Amino acid sequence: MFSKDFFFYGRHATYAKYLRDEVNLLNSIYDVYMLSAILGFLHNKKGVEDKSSNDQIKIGHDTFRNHKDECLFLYNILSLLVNKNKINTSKDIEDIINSNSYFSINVFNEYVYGGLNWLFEKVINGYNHNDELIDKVYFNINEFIEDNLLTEEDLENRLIS
Amino acid sequence: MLIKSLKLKNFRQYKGDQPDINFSCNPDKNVTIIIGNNTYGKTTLLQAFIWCLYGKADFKSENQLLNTEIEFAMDNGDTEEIRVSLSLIHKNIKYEIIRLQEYIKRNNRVYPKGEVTLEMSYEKADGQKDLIKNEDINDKINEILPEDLSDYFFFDAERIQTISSKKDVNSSVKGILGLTVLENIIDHIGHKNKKNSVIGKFEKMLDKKRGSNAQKIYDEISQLKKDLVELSDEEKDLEKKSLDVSNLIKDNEFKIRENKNVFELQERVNKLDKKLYDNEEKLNYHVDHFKGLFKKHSKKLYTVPLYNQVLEIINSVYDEDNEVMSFSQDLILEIINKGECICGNRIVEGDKAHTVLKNEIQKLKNKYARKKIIGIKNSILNSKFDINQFWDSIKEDYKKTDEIRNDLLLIENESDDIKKEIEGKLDTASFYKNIRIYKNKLKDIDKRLKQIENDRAKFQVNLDHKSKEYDEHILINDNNRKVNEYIRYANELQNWVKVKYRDKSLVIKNKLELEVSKIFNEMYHGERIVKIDENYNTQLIASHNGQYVKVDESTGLDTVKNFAFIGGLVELAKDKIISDLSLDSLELNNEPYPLVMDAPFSNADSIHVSSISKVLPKVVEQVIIIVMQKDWNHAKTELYDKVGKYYRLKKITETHTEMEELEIVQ
Repeated sequence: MFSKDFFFYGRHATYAKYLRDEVNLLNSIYDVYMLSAILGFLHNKKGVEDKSSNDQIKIGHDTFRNHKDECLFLYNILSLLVNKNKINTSKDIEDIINSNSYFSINVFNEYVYGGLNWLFEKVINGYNHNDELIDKVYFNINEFIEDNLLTEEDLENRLIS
Repeated sequence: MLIKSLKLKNFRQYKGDQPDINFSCNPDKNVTIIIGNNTYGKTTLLQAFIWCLYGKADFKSENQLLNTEIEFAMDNGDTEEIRVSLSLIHKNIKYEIIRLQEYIKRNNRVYPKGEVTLEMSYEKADGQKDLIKNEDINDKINEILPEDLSDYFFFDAERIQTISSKKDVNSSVKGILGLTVLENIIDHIGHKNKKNSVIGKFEKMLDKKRGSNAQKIYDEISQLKKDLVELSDEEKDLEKKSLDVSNLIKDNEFKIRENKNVFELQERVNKLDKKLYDNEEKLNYHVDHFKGLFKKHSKKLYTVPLYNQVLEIINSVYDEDNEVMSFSQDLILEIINKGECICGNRIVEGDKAHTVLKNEIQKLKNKYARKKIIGIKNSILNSKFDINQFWDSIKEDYKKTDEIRNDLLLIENESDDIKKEIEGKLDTASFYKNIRIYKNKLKDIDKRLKQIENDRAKFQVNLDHKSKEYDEHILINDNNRKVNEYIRYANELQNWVKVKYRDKSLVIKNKLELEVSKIFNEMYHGERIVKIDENYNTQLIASHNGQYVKVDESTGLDTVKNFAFIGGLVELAKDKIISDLSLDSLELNNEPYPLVMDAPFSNADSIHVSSISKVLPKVVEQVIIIVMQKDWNHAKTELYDKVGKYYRLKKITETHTEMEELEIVQ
């Protein structure tokens, strides 16, 4: 995994380019990919590859190679979280991490598509001005912090500086 | 003048020796009718008169006068002639004019042979004929009927439309009515700049060279007068410009008053626009900063709960704190087998100590897994992300953008309100600028006007001085004194003639208008009156609601008008015009003229034809009408008892016409 080129097709390609080029919210298609995976899992959204148009955009294998640790780490995190109910011992953790039968790159990518769909529909779509976009992003972050990270006091407890 | 007869030989269609055409000179039956349809030779007859009198012919086709059949019958070397003889009575003297042109055929083409021969004779009291000298013939003919008047008395259907609106009607009418002689007197006396005039010649007789500077002074005087005129013209021009510029200033001042506020409001809008721009820059900065934070930290932010969950999972299955570090599996097995711990406690299978030690063995068996788990845990714990700082920063950026956006809205609203207020009003800055420019222009104009005034005064003083000097030079000797007296006398005489001329012109014009109106009203029964202007151009004025207005005329009415004009002209030419202003008036002798008309009724309708036919014979001494049968049918009713002679043109071939006298049947 993460050793080959990856292609976004169809509307996913359009979304990804839009996020990078039009709204300038992320630096690269790779960042889109990774953030989408995180958001997909967070919101329990999976998707499928889209081929509704001829649009496409590539993440090269060398990009993945340069971010290998990060990619694998996230992959492991997601694989553990997806199978958390099956974890009773540390060996279970090892099994999950080492085996493809609990989690796969295809499942990872399903979260990527789902997360990208969610990002576009909930946050990006429907704004008229640049500043309306940051309204949406800001409120989303605010909501996220309130829902997932509770109060600022809690935030402090979670902090590792 | 009365036309007695016309005789043609080989003139156009009139082949061979034609019999005399004798025109009626009977004052009671003064109409001669010649009937002929188109192409029978009507126009040729009219042109024959003109050619005989003046040597000119104007045909639409090629200007070939010799009869075509005669021409074709000629062999090379043969000669033929065309001849037109006109017999007329002028001041009770009978004249005969014969014009003749010979032709010769060479190389199968016909050429005129020699010059035209013109012969004029008159009948003396004793009945003998005497010839008029060749060099005097043209003058005599012009004395009887001046060529430039001939259009009025020999005319065709086309010309009748324009007869009373010709450009030269002024001079022609004056000629007919005898005013030309007065004009000639005025012209003959002339003025000092007209060298061949009486006064001009007297001027030459002045001894201008006496006192050698006289000519030079004269030139200087001329130049000064010219300069004064130029100054005057320039002054008028500048005064007009000054008025225009003043009006422009007032215009701009008015606009400034109307748009007083606009200037300040415009300034305010400019400031707001600048503020708008600055704030937009700031907004962009904070938006970009916001996005920058998101780009940098979003992945870390959103993975925080995931990491927390994973930590929980790891902590639930792996108690690192409880792990006894550095214990080996063998050591623990030995302790179990020994049944005694290193602290001395007994270890029995099934008790707690035994279970713990077994678990430790199990843990040690999962060493690799443990490493991995620790690795994950440490990675999570080491991922440095200060959420507080991130949140504070992004909140700060967001707050700033919010504030700026509010400010922008306020600024935009204010700017829009002001723009609405000044919409449609004008930027007064340009008016102020205009006023400055115009005021400067006005200053320049005033300065120049003052200068002109000064120059004029100087020139005038100089001119007066020079004129006096010149007069002194000129009047130096007796001869000059005498000549000046002559000049003065000539000027007085000229002025007297001018006054007479003016009076006569007015009387003649009014009388002409009266005569033409009288004749017109006999011909036309409607609400039109005739007006003649100082150039003798005729207009018809219609009456409408008690007011008279100029209206466009139909072709038929135009014809009637033109006939009336001719009739009036002829009528006036018959009378002697006597000024009723003074006893020493000049009598102007005038001769009655005949009218020779080719197809005069072709543009008139039957009603007008009747009207014209009824009146013309009464006002004109002699009428010769060359007419088409159909037009004669309309005119016959009115004219038949006035007809003294009646002819018909017989078309033998296309190139041969003969004249036939008809009996007049009452």
